[in-house]
Amino acid sequence: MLDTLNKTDLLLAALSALLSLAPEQHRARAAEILDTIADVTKSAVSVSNQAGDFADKLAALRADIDAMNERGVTVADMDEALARVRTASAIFRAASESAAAQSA
Amino acid sequence: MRHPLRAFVLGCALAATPACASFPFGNAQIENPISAAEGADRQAYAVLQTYAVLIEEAADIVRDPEAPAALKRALAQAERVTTPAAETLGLAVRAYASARADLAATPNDDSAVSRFAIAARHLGEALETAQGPLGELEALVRAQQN
Repeated sequence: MLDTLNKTDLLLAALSALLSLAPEQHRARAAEILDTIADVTKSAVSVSNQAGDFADKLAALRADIDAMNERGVTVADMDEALARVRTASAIFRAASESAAAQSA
Repeated sequence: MRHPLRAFVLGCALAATPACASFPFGNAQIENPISAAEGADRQAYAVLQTYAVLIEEAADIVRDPEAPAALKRALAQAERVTTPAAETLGLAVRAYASARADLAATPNDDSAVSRFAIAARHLGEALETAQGPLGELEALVRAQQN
């Protein structure tokens, strides 16, 4: 449980950054969403070693970006990135629907 | 501001601060991919890939039977809003990369020049949209720290 809450601290930190990409009419909901999350995670204490997986993924991505600075972004790079987002989103939504069905 | 929310926003502001190459978070050192990116196209690519990492992590959370149902619902709500926005940014970068490649192949083609200019403008607008509210968040964090 603590693992989940600590990971959520990191996840939502960056997710809130992406909320700013949303159209303005949806952006007001960000505060509402974050308040909800703050309510349900108020028992969380501090961030711990559990940030490791997340840190590893970002370190790998950082290395990719450093290499990419030598050559620039190609259409193939963007197709790969968009495919990764769409795949991650589809997996997330399936997991979310499954979780919602189980709790119903 | 309650502590967990402040931690979210602080992490967000740090991750989005271009001057911050890495920062400690708990016992982990978080590398900032976005700060390493040079140029609008690489910066947008870094934002998109970082977002993909976040959603991969979010899937682990919603699968956890011990995670609170309200948290799972909040994550689902956030994902529904942010994924289309991230895709929009990604498509703008793709169009920019494509137009740049066309221009490199046919530098004397006026239509290639025009397509590149339009794509560059769209990409700049997409990034500007993303960065403006981040500054507001950072100011909010600083206000809470004082």
